[in-house]
Order: sequence, then C-alpha cells, then structure tokens
Amino acid sequence: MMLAELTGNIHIGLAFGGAAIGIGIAAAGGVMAIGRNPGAFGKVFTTMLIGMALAEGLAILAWIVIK
Amino acid sequence: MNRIGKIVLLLGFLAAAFVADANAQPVAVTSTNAPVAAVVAPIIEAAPPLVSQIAPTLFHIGPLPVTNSMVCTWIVVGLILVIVRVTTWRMTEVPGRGQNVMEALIEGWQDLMGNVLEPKVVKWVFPFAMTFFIFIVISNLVDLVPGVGSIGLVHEKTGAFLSVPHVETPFFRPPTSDANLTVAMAFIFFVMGLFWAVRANGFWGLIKHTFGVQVETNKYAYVPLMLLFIFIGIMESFSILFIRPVALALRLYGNIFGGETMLTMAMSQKSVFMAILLALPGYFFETVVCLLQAFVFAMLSVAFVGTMCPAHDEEH
Repeated sequence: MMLAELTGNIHIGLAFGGAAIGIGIAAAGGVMAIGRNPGAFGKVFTTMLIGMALAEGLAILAWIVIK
Repeated sequence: MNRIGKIVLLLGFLAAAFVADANAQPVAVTSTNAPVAAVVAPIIEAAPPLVSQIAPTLFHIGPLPVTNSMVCTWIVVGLILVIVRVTTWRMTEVPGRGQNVMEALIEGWQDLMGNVLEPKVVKWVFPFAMTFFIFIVISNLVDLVPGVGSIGLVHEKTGAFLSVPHVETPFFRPPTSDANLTVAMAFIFFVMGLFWAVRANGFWGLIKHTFGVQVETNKYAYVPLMLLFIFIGIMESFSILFIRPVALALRLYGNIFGGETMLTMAMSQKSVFMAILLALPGYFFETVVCLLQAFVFAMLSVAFVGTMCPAHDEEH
C-alpha cells in the first residue's frame, strides 16, 4: 500500500495546513476590511492578529500533544 | 555609465557562478532528484540535522555551561544598551536622527496599545511590551548577520567553494532560535499577565469576567446561560493557562529556528548557483519574518492582557 510508506509527521502537515488556510482567510478578511475603512487599521489589524494566533495555536497544540 | 557598469558586474558575477557551478560535484543533485519517496526517506533520515535543536555548549564557567545562544544574548543586550544610550544621550527639544527613531517607535507603540487597553493598563504593560519588542527585533535580526551560525568548530569538511559545510558548534546562534529563551519570555508574560489581570479586576472580578454571564438577560434565561458561560470559562481558562503561553513561545522559536535551518540549508547546497538562488529570497523572507514575529509577540501579549482586563467595565 502507498499509505504504508507515509509515516512520520503527517499530522503536523495536516494541522499546519488547516492553520495556513485559517490564517489566509483571516488575512484576506483583514485586507478587505482595511481597504474599505483605512481609518480602522489599528483595530482591524489587532483583531486579525488575534485570530491568526488562535488558528496557529491549535496547530502548535497538535504539534506538541501528538508527538 | 554607472548603470552599464552595474550590469557588467552582475553578468560577470552570474558567469562566475555558472563556472563554479560546472566545477561542483553533481552528487547532491542526482540524489535529490530521485523520484521515489522510499528512496529519499532513508537518505534524509541518515543525514544529520543542519542546525541542532539544542544549543551546543561552548565552554563552562564553573558548573554553568555557556551555550552559543547565551553568548549571543549577551552581545544583543550590550548592543541594545549602546544603541539606546547613544540615541538618547543628549535629549534635545528638536530631536536628532537617533532620538527621532526612538520617539517614533515609542509613540507608535503607545498609540497601538491605546486601541486595545485602557490608559491605566497601558501604563503597566508598556515597558514590558516595548522591551520585548526591541529585544526580539534585534535578536531576530542577528539571524541575518553573515557568520552567525556559519562560523564555528567544524569536525569534517564538506562542500564546495563558498558553500558552508556542516558546522557542529557555531560560535554564535540567534538567541530566539533557542527554545529556552522564548519559553522563559512566555513564562514572564504568563506571570505578569495574570498579575495585571488580578490588579485591574481584583481576584473575584477576574473569576467573574472569565466565568460570568456577559450578555444582558432576563432572569428566566439566566440559569442555562450561566451553565453555558461556565463551560466557556473552562475553555478560556485552559487557553489562558496553557495554550497562550505555549503558542507564544513556540511560534517565535519555530519561526526563527525554521528560518535559520532554511538559510543554512540554502547556503550548504553543493552548487554555488543553487545556493545563491535559494538564499536570496530566503534572506528577504527572513527579514520580513524577523520584524513581523517580534511585532506579533509583543502585540499578542498586549492583546491577551487586553482580553483579561475588560476596557469598558468602569464606564457603565
């Protein structure tokens, strides 16, 4: 089977792939929001960063817990 | 005339790179092109890691082992002291160049933190976040200085002209690519964040803020909502106590360590042309990552404190 060859850090790849999708969505939303309302840059950017951090935090959690 | 000279220089450089490329041994190229994963896997596993996760020990002071990242941390601290002292040695009404940079940095951060925190909390958190930002920026940028991670004790010489062989114990290592430092910084943030949260809300207030019902309800909906918010509070306290500091530490460590590994990997290619081709975008990417990660570390710690100290409670 092909799957027998795929050992190692697959869970890390999957978790970080999901995190990357989440971060990309957050960044896209942030860019759109700033483009519509440039005055709210600070607030949008901070909220975006927190969302990115939460998305990334789950991936890091998967990295640590399922080692 | 100047532009033509630049173009000629660039062409000469590329030609030299190609010539050196032709002279390089093609061993690495053929092995990395192998299409079957099963063939590549044992080669990758057998190769030693380019940058070890544990910082190697350089020498001992008494019983205390001194690692290369510790040496680099001291250099960074000295550098910060010198930079700050020189730029603010004589404060003038009309700021000079260095003082202007410092003032812009500090005012920018004050404005940024004013968005998230109330003014009372800004006064507590500002020195913390500012110190971490400056320290992390400089210790991240150490990563990009030529010689850091590539000058050191080599046990066995490999590689061609200009390419970096596998250095076993480099003399310098970026401080933030050592997990000890980032975990320590995240732990300081964890203790200080809880301290500020208790100081702003009171202990009971913090419990109420975490576990309490935060929407306006009538008394019939209160009991199910209370159960719901208690479960949310349990998840949130798990996040505060475990996920946030760990993620904060490992994000910074992973980014800088990964960048260091990537640059070392790029520079230790067998062919010079490939090394330059891989290292140039790598350097650009790392510059952005270094600045951004320092900002993210400081800003996230501010935002985490902001979620624990509600800004609007006293206005009602």
